[in-house]
Amino acid sequence: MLRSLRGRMAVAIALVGALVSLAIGVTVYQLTASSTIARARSALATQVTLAAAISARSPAPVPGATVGDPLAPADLRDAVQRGLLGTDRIGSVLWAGTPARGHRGIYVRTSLAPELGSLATLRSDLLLAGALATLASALLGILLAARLSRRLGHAAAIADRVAGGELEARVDAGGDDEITRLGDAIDGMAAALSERLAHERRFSADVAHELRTPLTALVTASSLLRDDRPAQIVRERVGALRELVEDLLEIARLDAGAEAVQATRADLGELADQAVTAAGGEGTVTVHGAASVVTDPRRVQRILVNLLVNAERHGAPPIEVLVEGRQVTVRDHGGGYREQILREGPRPFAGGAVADVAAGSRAGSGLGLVIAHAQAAAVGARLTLVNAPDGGAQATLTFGGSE
Amino acid sequence: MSGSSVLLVEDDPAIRETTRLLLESFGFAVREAADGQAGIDAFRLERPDVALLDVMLPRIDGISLTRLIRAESDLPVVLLSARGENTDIVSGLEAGADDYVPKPFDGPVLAARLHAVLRRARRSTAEARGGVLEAGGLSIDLGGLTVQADGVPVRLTMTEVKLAIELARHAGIVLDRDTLLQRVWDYPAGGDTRLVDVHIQRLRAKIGGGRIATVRGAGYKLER
Repeated sequence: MLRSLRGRMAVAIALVGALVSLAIGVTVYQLTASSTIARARSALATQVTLAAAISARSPAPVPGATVGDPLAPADLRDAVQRGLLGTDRIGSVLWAGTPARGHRGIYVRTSLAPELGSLATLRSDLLLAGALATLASALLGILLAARLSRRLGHAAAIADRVAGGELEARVDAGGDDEITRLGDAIDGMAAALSERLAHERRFSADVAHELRTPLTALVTASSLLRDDRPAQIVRERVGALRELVEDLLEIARLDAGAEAVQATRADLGELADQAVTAAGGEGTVTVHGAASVVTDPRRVQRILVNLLVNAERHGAPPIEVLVEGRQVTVRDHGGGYREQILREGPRPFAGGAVADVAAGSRAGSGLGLVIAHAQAAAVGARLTLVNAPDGGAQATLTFGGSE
Repeated sequence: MSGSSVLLVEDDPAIRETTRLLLESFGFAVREAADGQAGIDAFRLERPDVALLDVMLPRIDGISLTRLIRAESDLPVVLLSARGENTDIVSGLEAGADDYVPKPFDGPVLAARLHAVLRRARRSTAEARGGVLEAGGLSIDLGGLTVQADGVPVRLTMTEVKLAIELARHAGIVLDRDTLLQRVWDYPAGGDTRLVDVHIQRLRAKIGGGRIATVRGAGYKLER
């Protein structure tokens, strides 16, 4: 309870409420008590003065007053003997005395019980009021803190969503306080982040676009070269460059959501067979009740071919494709995906997707997996990458729905 | 088909030269133009067999150039497009282009596209056995390759005629986009189905919208 802002604020406000009611209660009680007693003293002093006056004119005893009362408090009797009018209180009894009839003095007394009774009532009323005020301030504190903590929690949730990649999420905090400022700051950060990301994406798309013109001439010219070893090397490297540029352009298109998904009904088993053929024929397809799904077959083809090419280049044979219902799994027997890919998902140029096993094999750009991932998202399928328990990279493409 | 003349309109000199060399190696005769204006002039002067146009051209862009050519003739037009510039491809096809090849391209792929479009254009001889195909209010003269809709002659490009013939031959039957791509465009499996979609749009605009039905997730059919 005390760890949360809400709890701490509620306790603090309740404490303040309790202290304030205590201070007010004590003050009110003291003032009331002293003025009540003072009134009683003054009334009794008037009474004893009156009794003294009556007793001066007639020797008869004055009703309610006693002469030279030995029960009177000693301090009072001393004062009276010194010729003074005084009052004194013992417990709930108030005495007043004044000099009369020689040195014996005349005394009256009264019970303070009614006054003390009403003070006791006042005290318990004040305690009750204080308790109620404390309770009320605690409730108020909880409400206030709940509102604050709800707004803070909302801001934190938005920050989490932005961190998770939902760059268009915004706090949109209303009001004009520190939490509003915090919300605005988070919104500003998200906007700046998405602006920068868009800028980076635009940049790589622009680079790829710019590379395409010289590359087109290169591809054509290299295909016209005489067939000797240097020409082979040029063609092979130009091919690699072309693949890189086309992958970058495809990622740019996917980022921009530029192409509509062309959905049609397709059999996953057939798609897997076609993908293996398109990827160069390596890989055996096993089918256990392949589902037919409504999807974009070309994009699915692209995903599967990329997974197969990845397995071929960076994994090790045998490459197995298993179609089971609405799931297609591509698996090789190489070194498996790198730890970072499993942890963070595929990222461009993250230094190759797969822990290379074959000595001398180059690490790939990682773009193939990035594309596979983005294409899967575009057709509403899920691509999960794991390392099989007995070794090898294993990618599973799962289609949603149940048609 | 070799010896066919290609009008190549491309502003980048290196692409233009290498593409010319490539096409010549496949036996085409190539006439080059470096911008859209030079392209339309060359088209009017030399009447090539097929035009290969870059989309992004100075003075007159490839799409406008396609529209100009289409206004004057049924010359087969193939666009050289930067892959991924989608609106370019679709508006190029809408302007009347028969096909497109994304850059960068492989020599054999480009040659195959040109051969396919030339085959369509010259099919008049192949289909010369003649006869008249009638379906869904369309009347197609397979000899002269002319098309009438409800008796009114409509002017179609060869690609559109071929598409109309395929649909008419299977009137009432749904043809999926891949099948149409293979039969009309000679594409191997896996071409861009937007070619079919845009050509169907153009065909509908010319012969009347109600005749060709879209079957969602399946393809197109000509109503009987």
